[in-house]
Amino acid sequence: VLFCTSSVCILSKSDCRQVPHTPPFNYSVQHTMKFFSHTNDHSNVSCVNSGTNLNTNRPLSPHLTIYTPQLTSTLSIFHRISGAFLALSFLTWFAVFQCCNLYLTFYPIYSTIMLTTQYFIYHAYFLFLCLTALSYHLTNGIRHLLWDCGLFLDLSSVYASGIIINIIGCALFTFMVVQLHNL
Amino acid sequence: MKHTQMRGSRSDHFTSFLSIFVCPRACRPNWLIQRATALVIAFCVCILFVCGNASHIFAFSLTFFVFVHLYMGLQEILADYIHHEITRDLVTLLLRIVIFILIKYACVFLVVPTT
Repeated sequence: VLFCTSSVCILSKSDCRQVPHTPPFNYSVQHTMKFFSHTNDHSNVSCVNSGTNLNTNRPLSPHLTIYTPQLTSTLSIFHRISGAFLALSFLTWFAVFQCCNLYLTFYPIYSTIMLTTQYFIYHAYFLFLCLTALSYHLTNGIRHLLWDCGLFLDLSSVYASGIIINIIGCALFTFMVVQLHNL
Repeated sequence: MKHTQMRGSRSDHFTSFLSIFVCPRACRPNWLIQRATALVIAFCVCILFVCGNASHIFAFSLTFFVFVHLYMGLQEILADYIHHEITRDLVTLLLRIVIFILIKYACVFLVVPTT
């Protein structure tokens, strides 16, 4: 699932020199003054020129709603999403099955599972989703470590390494599935 | 760190006092520790792929580094997406307590495996 989105970005042939198709917000003097003022006071300030409040939810760093999806931004945000997914799933698994001593003869477990999995039909594929996220996060993390060493920072090598880590991640996912099947 | 030094221009003293009291430094994790734990985890996972078996010390170190890396990643995400200072410090403090308790349980589980 994660690799299909990046392949869509490859097929759409979008490069990073595109201008955003919608402006992020109405630029005004007070926005720029607030940007350079280094204060954390987001409240009690209203923009007089455009008549809108500054305390709105402005878009954050990857700018998913503003820019068209590219390969690099998609890989970046999926690195963060897969990391958060792995962290939360690991914490939930550990807290429920290791810390709380929930035995499998405990009846409310099955009642809650029956009540909750009516809305999550595909809970059988959760392990495969975890393996996909793990393989993607591992390979893309190695790419991030190489970037931190100062390697592959050109634009062409960034795109090439993005495609290469997708291929390696697919191979790693199949390898892990085969290992799991052999167990 | 830059975030906390720049604060306090307009009647923000009580807020900054509370946030310093709750969370003495800024909520950003250390950059170098995050990369070092990521490197250790990648190395350990590659060894696990090759060998397929783990000793106790290896599993303990892997679990500890996984918890540290997980804690720093979640802390960075929370610091990015929570804007209010007191809420951010409170949530990072709660995350710190939860991770500490889970690391304690992980140590007990690895020393005395019950299942």
